[in-house]
Amino acid sequence: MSDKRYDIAIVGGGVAGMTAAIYASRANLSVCLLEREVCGGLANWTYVIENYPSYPSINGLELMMKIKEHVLANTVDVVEVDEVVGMELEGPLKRITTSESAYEAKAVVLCTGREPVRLSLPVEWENIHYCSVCDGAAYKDKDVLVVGGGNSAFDESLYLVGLGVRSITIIEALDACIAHQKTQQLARETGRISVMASTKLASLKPFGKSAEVALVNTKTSESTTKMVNGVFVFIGQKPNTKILSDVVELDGNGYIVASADMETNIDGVYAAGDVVSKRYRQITTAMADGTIAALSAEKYLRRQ
Amino acid sequence: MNSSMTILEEETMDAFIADKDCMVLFYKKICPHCKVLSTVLVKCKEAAPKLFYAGVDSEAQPALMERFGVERVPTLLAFKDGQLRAKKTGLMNPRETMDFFSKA
Repeated sequence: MSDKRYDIAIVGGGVAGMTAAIYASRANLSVCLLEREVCGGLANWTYVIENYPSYPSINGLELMMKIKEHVLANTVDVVEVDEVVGMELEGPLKRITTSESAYEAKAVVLCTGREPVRLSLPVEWENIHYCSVCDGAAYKDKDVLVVGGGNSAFDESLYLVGLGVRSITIIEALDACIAHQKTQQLARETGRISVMASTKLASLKPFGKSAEVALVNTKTSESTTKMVNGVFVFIGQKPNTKILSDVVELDGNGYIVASADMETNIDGVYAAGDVVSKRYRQITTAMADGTIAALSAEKYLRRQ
Repeated sequence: MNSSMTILEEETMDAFIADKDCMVLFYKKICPHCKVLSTVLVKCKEAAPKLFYAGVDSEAQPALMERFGVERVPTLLAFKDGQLRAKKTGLMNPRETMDFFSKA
C-alpha cells in the first residue's frame, strides 16, 4: 500500500467538505476528498430543501450532486466508498489510512458530519427504517409509526403520504413537536397523519410483516398498543467522531472543539460542518465552516 | 445512477440476463443508499472487469419489481447463466458485494 501525498486531505464529503475542497483547489493546493459513502452527507437524505439560497425548493440529493459536480470541475481527487480507519495527525505530515489505501497530507480538514441516532430497542425487525425515500414505497395502503417530532419526521411523513401510506402516527417524547409550524399544519391537513406528543415507544413485538407497538404517555404513564406495518425513525443525529476520540479535542457531546478559524487543538488540523461543536447546523453554516477551514489551512501551509 | 451503468426496462431485461453472469441493481433516482451501492458497483467493475452490471429504475419499472419480488431499494440481484441466484436489499461495501456475487 503506497501513500498518496497531498497538500490537504479532507475527511468527509458532505457540504462542508465539498466547499473546503473547492476553496483549497482554487488556492492551487493539491486536494483529496475522502468519503465513506457518496458525497453529500446528511443533506442527501433530505427530500426537500427550502432554505438554500438560489433554490427555493430542491431535493437534497440533487443539490448535493450539483455541488459535487462543482468539486469535480476543480482539481480534486474525490474518493468515495472508502472508509477512514486510522489517522495520525500530529507533526508536519499527517497520515490517513482508509480501508483501501493510505494518504499523507500537510494539512487535514475534518468534516465527518453526523449520523442518525438509531432506535434503542432490544429487538431486531427488518421493517424499522431511517429513510422514507429508500423504503417508503413498500408501505402503500399500510400503517406506519414515525418516531420523532422534528422537521425530518414531518417532512418524511409528508413524503410517505405522497406514496400512498394509509395512516401515519407520529410520536414525540417532548410535550410538543419542534418541527416548523407550517410543516406541522401541512401534515395535519393531509388527514392521514396523527400526532401524539409526550409519547414514547416502549416496546415492539414483531409478528412477521406487522408489529404491535406499545406507546406510553410520558406524563400519565398510560399505555396504548397499536399494530403497524413499519416504523420510521427520525430522532436526531450524533457526531461521527468515534475514530477521532483519541485524535482531537472533543466536547462533552463528542463534537470537535474548533476556534473561529476552524482550528482544532492540533497544528494543521481543521474541522468544519456539523461535526464541530456549535449551536447552529445548517447547509449554509457548513459551507461557511468549509470555506474558513480551507482558507485557514491555506494560510497555515504558506507559513510552513 | 452512474453514467456507465446499463439501464434495463421490461423489454430489455431478459436479453441482458440471458447469456451472462451479472448483477442488477434496483434503485430509485433520489435514494442515497442506491447512489452508494451504484458507486460500489463501479468499484466492483474496476476490480473485476469481466463482470456485467445494470440498473432498473424501480419507479419506472413496477412490473419488474413485482416479477422479481423487489419491495425496497436498493436491492441487488445476482444472475448466473440467466438464472436468478441471489437477492439482497440494503447496503454492502465492495468486498461484501463481490462475496455476495461469488457465493450466489
